Amino acid sequence: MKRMHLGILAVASVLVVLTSHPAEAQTGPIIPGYERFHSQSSDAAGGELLLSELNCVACHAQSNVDLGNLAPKTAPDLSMVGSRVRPEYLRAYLADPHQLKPGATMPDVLGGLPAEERTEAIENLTHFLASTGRLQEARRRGRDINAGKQLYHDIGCAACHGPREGSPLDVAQLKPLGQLEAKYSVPSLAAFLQDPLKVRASGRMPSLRLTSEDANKIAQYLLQDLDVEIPANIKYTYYEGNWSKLPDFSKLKPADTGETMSFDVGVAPRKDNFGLVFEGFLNITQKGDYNFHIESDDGSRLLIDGKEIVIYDGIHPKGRRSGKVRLEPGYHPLRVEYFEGAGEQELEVLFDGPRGMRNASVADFVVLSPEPAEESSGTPGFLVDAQRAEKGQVQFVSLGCATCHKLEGTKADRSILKGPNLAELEISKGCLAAQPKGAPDFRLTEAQRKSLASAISHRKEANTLAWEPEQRVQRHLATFNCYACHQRNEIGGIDPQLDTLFHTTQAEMGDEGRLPPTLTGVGAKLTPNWMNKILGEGAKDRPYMKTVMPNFGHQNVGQLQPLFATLDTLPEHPPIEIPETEGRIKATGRHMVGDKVFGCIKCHTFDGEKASGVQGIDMTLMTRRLNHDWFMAYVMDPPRFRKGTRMPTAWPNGKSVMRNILSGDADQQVEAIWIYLSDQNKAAKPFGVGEQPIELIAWRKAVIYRNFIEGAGSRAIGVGFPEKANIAFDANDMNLALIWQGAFIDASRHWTGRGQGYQPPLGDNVIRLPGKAPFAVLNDAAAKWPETSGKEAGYKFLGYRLDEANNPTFRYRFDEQTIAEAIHADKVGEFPVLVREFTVEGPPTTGSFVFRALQGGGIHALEDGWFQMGDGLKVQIEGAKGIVRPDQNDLLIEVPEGAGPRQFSLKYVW
Amino acid sequence: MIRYTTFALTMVLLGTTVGFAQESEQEKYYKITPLPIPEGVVLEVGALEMMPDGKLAVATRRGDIYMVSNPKASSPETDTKFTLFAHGLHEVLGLAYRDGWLYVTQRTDVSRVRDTNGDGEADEFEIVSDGWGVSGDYHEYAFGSRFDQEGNIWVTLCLTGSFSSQVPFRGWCLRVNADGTTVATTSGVRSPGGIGMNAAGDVFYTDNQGPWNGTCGLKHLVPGKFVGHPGGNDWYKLAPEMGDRPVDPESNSRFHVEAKKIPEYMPAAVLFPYDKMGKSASGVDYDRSEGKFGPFAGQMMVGDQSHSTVMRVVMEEVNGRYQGACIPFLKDIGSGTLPIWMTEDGNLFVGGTNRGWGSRGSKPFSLERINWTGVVPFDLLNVTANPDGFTVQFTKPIDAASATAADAIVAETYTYIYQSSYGSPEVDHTKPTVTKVEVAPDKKSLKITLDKVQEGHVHEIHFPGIRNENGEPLWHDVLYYTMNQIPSK
Repeated sequence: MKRMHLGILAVASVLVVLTSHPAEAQTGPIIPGYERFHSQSSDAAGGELLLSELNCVACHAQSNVDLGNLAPKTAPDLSMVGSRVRPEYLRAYLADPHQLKPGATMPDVLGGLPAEERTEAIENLTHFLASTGRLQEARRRGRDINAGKQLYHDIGCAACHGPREGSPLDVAQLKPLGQLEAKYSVPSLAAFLQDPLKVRASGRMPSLRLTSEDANKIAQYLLQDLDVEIPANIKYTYYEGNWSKLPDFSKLKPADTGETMSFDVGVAPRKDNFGLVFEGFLNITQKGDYNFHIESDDGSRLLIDGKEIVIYDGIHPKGRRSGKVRLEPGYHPLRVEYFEGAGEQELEVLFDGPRGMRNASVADFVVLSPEPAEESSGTPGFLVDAQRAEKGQVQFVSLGCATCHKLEGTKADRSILKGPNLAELEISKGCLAAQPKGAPDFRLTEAQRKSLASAISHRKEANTLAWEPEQRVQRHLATFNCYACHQRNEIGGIDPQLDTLFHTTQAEMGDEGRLPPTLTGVGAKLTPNWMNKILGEGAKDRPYMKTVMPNFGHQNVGQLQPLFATLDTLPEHPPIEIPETEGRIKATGRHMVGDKVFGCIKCHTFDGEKASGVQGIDMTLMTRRLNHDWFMAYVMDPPRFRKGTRMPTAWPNGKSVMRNILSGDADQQVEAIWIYLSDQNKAAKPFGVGEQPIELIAWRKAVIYRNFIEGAGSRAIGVGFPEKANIAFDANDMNLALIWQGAFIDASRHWTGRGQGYQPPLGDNVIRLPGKAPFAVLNDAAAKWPETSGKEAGYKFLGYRLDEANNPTFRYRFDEQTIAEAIHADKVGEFPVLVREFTVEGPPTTGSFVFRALQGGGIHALEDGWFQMGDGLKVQIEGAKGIVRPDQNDLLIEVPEGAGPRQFSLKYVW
Repeated sequence: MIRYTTFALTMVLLGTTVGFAQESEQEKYYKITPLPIPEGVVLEVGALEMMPDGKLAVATRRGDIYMVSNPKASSPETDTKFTLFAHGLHEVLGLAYRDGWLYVTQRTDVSRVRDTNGDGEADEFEIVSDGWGVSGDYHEYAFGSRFDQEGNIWVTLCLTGSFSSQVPFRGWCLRVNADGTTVATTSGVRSPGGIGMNAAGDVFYTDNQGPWNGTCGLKHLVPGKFVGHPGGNDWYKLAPEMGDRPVDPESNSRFHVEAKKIPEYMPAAVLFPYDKMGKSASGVDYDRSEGKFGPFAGQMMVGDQSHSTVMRVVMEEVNGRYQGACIPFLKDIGSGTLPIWMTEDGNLFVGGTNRGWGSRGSKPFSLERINWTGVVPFDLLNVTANPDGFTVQFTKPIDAASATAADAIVAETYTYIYQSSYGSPEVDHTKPTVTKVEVAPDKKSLKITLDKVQEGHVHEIHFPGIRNENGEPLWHDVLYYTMNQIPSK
């Protein structure tokens, strides 16, 4: 206990040093949007901004007119503030908010009290607030400090709060951080940074989507001058053994003993098969019901005053068990037993208690010995005085703190501090007086008072109108300081003095790689869903940009989505018809995106796969993020939307540079890319993405690839024809399993490393032909196709022959029939077709000898022996009769009868 | 113990100095000539065969077959040409020529391939046998031999993932006749690295360290036998000609102990001590050159992929079973040694690849020819076991005094655990004492008597003190004899 006081003493001395500097010039409350856009003009709009940011409406009702203002900035939620903020800071802050935090928006509400009463009230409030929790300390870690410094200056903290290295900048709209060492501990600041909206729901301080690790690093950096000593407060005894349940530790011989700061299972020198007993005294200041939680992997139990409160025994992953107990003020012997078998090891001991205390760390309330602390230095550490806390709780409401601040277990009295309606305010009295007496003192500057006066006068006018949509957007962007990073319609944007704080991972991208994008026209650009996602979660879609789009809370900024959507529109693009099947359109889109045509993937990542050049936004996100019409317009002329962008256009002046694709029609080309990208992360990878492929290319002659081919089995024989048609024959099932167009196959999976796994076709428009055995003798014309594979049905693969152009003839035997199928490709227009010529030799069969050509829904006959599946694959049968069997969803071909070789052929168009 | 430590230390120092000496020393006796692989060709050699027209057929893991003209040319850079004969095969690990067809053992089948129109490219691919399963696991390799005297190609089939048998006959050796007949032959295969024959036409394959293989070994394939890994033994149900499934070996035992219990079980004829001789035994052949490749005519040669070496193996029959020793031989193969093939005129062709499994040879792939320079090295020639020791022959007369000096010959024995878990350390070490050394009158052999010979042990015998009549040490002064059985006389 004594050492803890010394720790606090160190903090107190920091506080003294810091506050011994003369207070900075009185700036008044700093609201970045006001400072930047209104402090000079003292206009009504600036006054309105102050009305919301100073939460004037907490005391002054809006009466005559609703301008469509944003919800006001609410004061921080003070529930458990004792676990976040040092009591000494609370005391000093209550006495003078601006002393420790220049630019604070909290008014001094106690100024009207007589000096003695005021001191008494501050003391009571401090004890009350301190009683809501207890601050946890952590050690200073140099490595984290350096990492935190980098993060602070990279991810966007500095955009609002300014750099903390180098000489201070003279930028009025920077929000000072105040004396953080005096206020926070590292764990409490880290917890705040990780989820600022929890305490400050209004989102003026947004969440930067930090991991707990990064939040801790930034906290370490911001509190680098803090030097706290963390004394041990818990005794531990360590045992080794292999248990499946908690053992009787009293019968075991300890392997080690020591002291620690928390229920730290890391004190065990090994990771498995050990046990720990932690002992100390729980310091309870508030009489009441407490609910203790143990979260452990593996077993644990908690005893207080020798009585088991909660147990979670046995081998298990981390999980929570809880137990209640009523406790009197004083020191209670506490014992936590724990054992670990194998695997993960974790132990947390938390509790809920009176005054809204939730999930507090029990270790923070444990001391080694119940003896009262020696107060040798004369400077007391902070001990909550229960009586003062009780008085403070009452005063928290009666003095008006509760009017603005939430705190679990307190309820605001709306009559306290209630002032006149906004439209009825006298503009030189109350808070607005040059020296407010008996009213909350915001330390308003002259300009701020003028602005507020303008706003109030404006509201008094008879014809006051609500904000126009663009004004409402501006009010959002100013209020949330979006303008610190973004500009819209030439307003806002990065202050020249702060420009150097914006960094990129890819210097070669220039400014567009480091500066957050313009918001001009953003409503036309982003889909409503994506906009809502950004406003509700923040974003990190740009891998090259160091700053993060923070999460301001959808409840705070969600209105921007419909506003942007209404304001920002593009002329609707007339529908684009592409006279091709969907499969071919996607194939064409993919082709264009790949490195052989437009090479989009050279600068855009694709489903997480890095681009070879700069790493632009992932292409598989595009159709989720972007509105179709904006995409159409943007790719035709990127600089029109993004000044100075490196993104080139493939369609200068709306004309394609590739005349041989989709007749060179620019709209059709872009539309094909859009349709292809609409498959999002299921879109087939474009050429040039990912590891160096080993693409097998048929040149003049067909190329053969035997390996594990996805969809064609472990004995697949792939053939790529120079016409860009491809097949994969399954020599196990003895059927032609796949046909596709475009590129043949990437052999890199099998030709680098050991070659595990199945490789899918590299090209497009992949069609799976009927599986199982290809031929059957059916005794009943309506019979179901046999379920057996070729091999199971007794087919024997005989091999293949290649002609001069390497076109294969596959040969196999089935019963007494020897079948040869010769396959080649032809090119008809832009797309290849496949021809499959069968020769069957063998004695006549009893029963119907049939081949299954198609299997699936929607098979129908066309003219001239053509058949089609839905509006996709078309097959033409020559030399034999095709029979559609709608009940079996298939197309059969009757093998012609007769002596000698019997022949028929199939042509595939798709 | 102290003496042993000193000895080991000396060996290390000696090893270092000798190591430098050997690099030039190998060149004195054997010359490695790389064949000029054309730019752009990835020649991860899986199999080699001499064609009747004098070309060397080279099959690759990528499924190509190249014909290499003038492979024996003295200036291959100018005189040797590569032409693509076939492509699109599936990881070829066996080639054998017969009657106008090139027989190809690949992952999926044994095929035969030929060029019918004389344009130099194969156009007919006939399946001879696909009588085994392929589940889609890369480890399911198939290594094929050349033809035996009855016209069979012997195919060893790696286990699925090298430890189980998901589809028929993984972990077996099958015999495929040219007429397509496929016969289950030997069970117990784990992960083969090569297959070949000795001078007598008996078939051997290498199997690699892993479960039930404490270290790599050379195993004799005998129809009806079981060679050690029971993972594929479920397929006895598909192989009535093999009789009943043998009893599974007991894990954590010893090879020679289980061999006595399981009549079908044949342990490795020769073990390659792990790390000492290599880590990944591969191609198998023998010296059929009758002296054109130096003094080792008729002896077997076995590659090691990891160490990029070719080892020598000498064997004898004891109680009707092969056993013998391995002796270091050639090193510095360009990539990881895979197939090896010796021509009757004394050209040893060595193919290399290290894709997926690293090798000391740093090239990703290689094709080399090795020829004897005509200089006879002073080396260990042969070793045979006696009831109480060994008889060791040398390529040249030795200095008798050097052989009888103290510590001129040092022996140690050990074995490996026969177990279901991966590999094994060396275990059961003994240090026999050399009680007598007798030099033959021609000074080209020694009879070494040990105080105790260990059944089932590798006998590692070093000859640090042996010198020839010019006072020179041996080129290689260690042999590892696998004493599966102690001869009775």
